[in-house]
Amino acid sequence: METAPAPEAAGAPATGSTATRRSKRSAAVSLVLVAGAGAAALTLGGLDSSQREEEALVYGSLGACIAQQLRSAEACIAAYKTAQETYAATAPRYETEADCQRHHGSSGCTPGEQVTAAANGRYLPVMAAFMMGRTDAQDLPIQPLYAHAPEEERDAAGTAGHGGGYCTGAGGRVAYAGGASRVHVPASVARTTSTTPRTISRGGFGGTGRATAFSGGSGGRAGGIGGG
Amino acid sequence: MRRVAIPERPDWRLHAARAGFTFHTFDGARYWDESAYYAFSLAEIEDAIEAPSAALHDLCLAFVDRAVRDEAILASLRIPEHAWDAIRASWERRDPSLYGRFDFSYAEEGPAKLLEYNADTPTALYESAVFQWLWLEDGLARGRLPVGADQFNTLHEALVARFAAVAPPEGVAFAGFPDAPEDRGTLAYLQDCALQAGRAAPFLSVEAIGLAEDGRFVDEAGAPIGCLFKLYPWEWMFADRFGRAVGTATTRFLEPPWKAVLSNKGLLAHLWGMEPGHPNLLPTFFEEDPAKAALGRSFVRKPLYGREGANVLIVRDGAVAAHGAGPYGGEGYVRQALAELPNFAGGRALIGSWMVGDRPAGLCLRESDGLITTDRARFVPHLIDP
Repeated sequence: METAPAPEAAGAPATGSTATRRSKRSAAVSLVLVAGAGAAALTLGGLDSSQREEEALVYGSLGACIAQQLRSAEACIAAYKTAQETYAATAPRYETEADCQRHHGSSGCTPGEQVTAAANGRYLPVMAAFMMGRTDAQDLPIQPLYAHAPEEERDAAGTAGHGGGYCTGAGGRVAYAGGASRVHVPASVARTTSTTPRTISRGGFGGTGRATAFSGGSGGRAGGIGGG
Repeated sequence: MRRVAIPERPDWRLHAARAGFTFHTFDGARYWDESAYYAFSLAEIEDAIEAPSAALHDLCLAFVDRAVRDEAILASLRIPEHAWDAIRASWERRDPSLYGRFDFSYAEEGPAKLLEYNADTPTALYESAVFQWLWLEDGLARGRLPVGADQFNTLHEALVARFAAVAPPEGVAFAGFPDAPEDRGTLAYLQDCALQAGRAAPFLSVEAIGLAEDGRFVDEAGAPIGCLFKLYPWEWMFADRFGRAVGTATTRFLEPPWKAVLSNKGLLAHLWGMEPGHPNLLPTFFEEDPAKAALGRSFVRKPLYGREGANVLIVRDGAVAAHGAGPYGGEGYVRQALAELPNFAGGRALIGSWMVGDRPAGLCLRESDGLITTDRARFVPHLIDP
């Protein structure tokens, strides 16, 4: 945690102030993320370290799983098969390709009918990876993973594609540094699966604000749109 | 209350960069202005600003309680009918609020007069809570400011404590426009406060919010949003395509829907109706109300919805003294008695009085060249005389 006051004197009793008077200001002002790293860091996940974590394995292909030999080839094959079945049945459905790409990136989506007839006319994220437990004893559900590359984070980080790691069908985020197959994910993400595909519509908020802020004749706000 | 000119710190931009204050200048014009400060006596702060703010907030809550049970009031505020249930339910549940800002016209000759209540999406928060505070501490440490000077500014501590008290354990998602630097800066600071209260605090674009089949609002990844802070006003939320889903969604909001009743200039007419003659209120009437004639030839006309002085018309002695351009006014106007902002050397000073939860928590001052405080106003720090 970075404590913001620059001078060393901050925190020491203010010299000369009347001892009886209660201060009308904060005793300390600390910034965790706004200072230093900047606002962009706030969007990059990893926010609640108090959550219990599970160690899991993430592979982009069946071959990668087998080659690493952390799990048996049989376990890899079974997990991959389960992930594929789960993918067809539960992958998020989007009404438009643009909606899908807004979240999963420009190369992260496919027409639904190419995956399953039940998703005809919709758009699905491609299965980018699958996640399984480090051991059977963990009893983690096998989950298909999707590229997590929402527009806002691409802008903030200046990266695209897998910069945001993966997400599960239930919406949990799986941070993934390229190369490492072992990941630590919050137990809530590792154990929450999506059993039914969900249709999500987007873009239903924001339109009035954009229209109002940019049509006004005042040239638009200097730095804000929604605040005042 | 007096204005004290003082040389700005030559290295204040460096301090700003260190503290993450990225929006101190807009289009080459200064927003943060430390070439002066305002000095108050403790009595002015406590008796003229703090106590009236607490009392007015109580009056506002009493008004919400009345409004949610009186459809004529909701209609007078031009709140769409489809939003009434969401507003009513949020009040009946007593959904907590986070913050708000009263704007006052205050001159030493008389009591502070309420101009409006930014109860829904106030900004100028980070610069009030953090950079103004750092300015005082640095000024004291360098001997540039009077020894023993204080500041009315418990905002930071109050915000962290408020998140700790009312935010759900699973965290709060913060929504706004990512391409509006001032809004984004305000949101980043609020995210920071929530984190310090031990809550997850992800950002998402207001336009990325999704609505799932089951009626729940979801984030970019499709995960349900339990609690959403939105720096996006309720009247726009209600007008948007998803507006009708607010009442049926399980998502809770900061600010809660009932704040729509307060962040509306119609509030000012209703408060005057409840407490005519209140020392901190200005006579105010809906534009359709013939009683507005009592205001005579000097008044201010304000759109029910509107921000940053847009579409405000000031008439003095029958002549237009100022008129702000802007996109607002389609929903109607109120007419308020004219309480001109006091004129100091640097311009017209407007006092913002912050509320966190139900308590006053600090002060900010903005100076404008003209009679209307707009988004071009300059933020000037303040202190309390030792």
